[in-house]
Amino acid sequence: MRIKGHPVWIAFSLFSLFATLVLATGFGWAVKDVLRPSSDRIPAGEVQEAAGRGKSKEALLVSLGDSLTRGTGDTSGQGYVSRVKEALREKNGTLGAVNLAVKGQTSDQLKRQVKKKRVRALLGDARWITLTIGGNDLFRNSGALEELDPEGAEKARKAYRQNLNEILSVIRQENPSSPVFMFGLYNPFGDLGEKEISNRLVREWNRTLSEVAGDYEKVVVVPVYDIFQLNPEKVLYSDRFHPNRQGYEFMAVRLLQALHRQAEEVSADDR
Amino acid sequence: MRNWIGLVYNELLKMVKKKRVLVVLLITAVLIPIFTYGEYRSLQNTVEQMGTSDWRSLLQQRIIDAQNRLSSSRLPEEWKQQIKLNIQQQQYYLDHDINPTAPGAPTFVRGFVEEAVSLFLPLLVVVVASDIVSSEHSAGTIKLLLTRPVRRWRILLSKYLALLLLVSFIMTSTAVLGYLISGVIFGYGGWDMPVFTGFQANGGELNTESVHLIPQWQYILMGYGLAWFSCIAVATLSFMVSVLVRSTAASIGIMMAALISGSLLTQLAPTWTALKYLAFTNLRLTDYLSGEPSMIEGMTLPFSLTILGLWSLVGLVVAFTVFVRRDVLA
Repeated sequence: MRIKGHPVWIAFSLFSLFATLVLATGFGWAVKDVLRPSSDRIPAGEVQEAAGRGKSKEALLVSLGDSLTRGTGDTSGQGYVSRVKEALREKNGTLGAVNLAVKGQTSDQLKRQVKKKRVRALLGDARWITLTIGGNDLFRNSGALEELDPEGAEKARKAYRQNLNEILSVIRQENPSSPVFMFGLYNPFGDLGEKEISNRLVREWNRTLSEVAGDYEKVVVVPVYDIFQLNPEKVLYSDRFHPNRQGYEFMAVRLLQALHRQAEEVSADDR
Repeated sequence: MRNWIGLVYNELLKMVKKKRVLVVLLITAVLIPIFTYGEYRSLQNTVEQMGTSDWRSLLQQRIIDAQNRLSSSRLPEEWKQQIKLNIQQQQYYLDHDINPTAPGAPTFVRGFVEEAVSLFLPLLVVVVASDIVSSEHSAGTIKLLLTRPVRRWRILLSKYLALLLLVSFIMTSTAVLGYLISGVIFGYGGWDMPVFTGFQANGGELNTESVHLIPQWQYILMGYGLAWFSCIAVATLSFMVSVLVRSTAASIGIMMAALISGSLLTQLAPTWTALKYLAFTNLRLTDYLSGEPSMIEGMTLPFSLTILGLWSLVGLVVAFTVFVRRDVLA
């Protein structure tokens, strides 16, 4: 049988045949590779990109911590971080922002997080670092609200001091000069029973936090205890634990006050 | 042998001249620019939001965001498992300082085949494969075909072989089109960029023991090879349906419904493990290459290949038996 036809169709057929062979090869290769990974792999060291991280000179805001930094409870989804970011962007122009906060994070988990290589690098690049940590340590380890356990809380506080020390020293190791803004703790249960005990606990923890912060250069403690002291229901979300929109707004204002003062100082130094 | 080549060539020509192939290519040529632009937009968007184009920061942020999704209590356990594995994989990339998604046309092609293997490519295949026998019925040409002094099974086999060639052609052209079109935005370089492969999900843990790097061109070749196998399975089943059903519209409809429900069911009911014995839940073969954890537990590459192979085999047997024995009247 003779094959007749336009050269285009013959070329098309040959191309299809060729494609089939190529794809079949790829298939065979893939099956072999998945089942028996080849030993002639590229050594990982060789391909490490020569240039380190592209040291962008852009201003970078790095936020660490727990759900407060994440913005849980803010129905607008912004939290304090986005508000601060917007404000800084207006002032500074372009600005990078990385939010590394994880909901429910405790100081122990944050301690492990900041030791990761990539997080360290980001901290090194940061021009501002913001931080909320401790709420989960305090309210989880002290037991349920009805039966606050002073002993457990005391033990947790010691661990908290230790962890906070480690966190801040890692930050300072990576970045000796940029300011760190650390929010103080507030008492979401200030209008419920046992408020004397919960208030005392929060005050104690805040003292610890301030003491540790005082040991490091340029670590600014931003107090928020007062915001949540009167009428906490106005600034708390319906879960009665996280701030609501208004609460985050207040937190952002506080942080910006501390931050702008600092920013002016820096520009004064430059002159 | 000459005889065979002639038969297959003839069938191939019949299929190509039907304009259906052109339509398929046209669909691809229209959709790929849209996909390209979409990807470009979302990249721009993240860069803008983060204020940095450093992929390490972007990837780190993505890991943290995924961690936060994990803490949602409404998330089904299977999803959580998958997110956890994804996080571990991304962390692996980050730790080894390799960008999993460096922009470039080859990266686009790689992403395209990984995404398209479950639905887009099979749909294209269904469009060309579904009328292969049924159209002979609706056009009435079946009688002319069968009155030739060629055995029926030979006719059917040559149709099948031509279909396989056509599937290869379509897949290759999507790759070529994707490369040419996306390169306009992303640039044409990046063929030898290193990519990790060999991740294995082991319970909830990611096993990185056999992870190794391969150049991206090899990855694309292997990815397309696996997708090719999936598409052949789809083509074979469409081929069977096309023999069984005399109306082209019905056979396309049946295949599309099966395809779509196959990909929906895995999302809807990941706990229903019997689903893994269906052909269309096993189409995502490229996942075994990228290490993307599968939704249903206990699926491995040999398993999926076996299932797809068995279904195809059954499809072929049914198609041939029916076609050889059937009375052709009208």
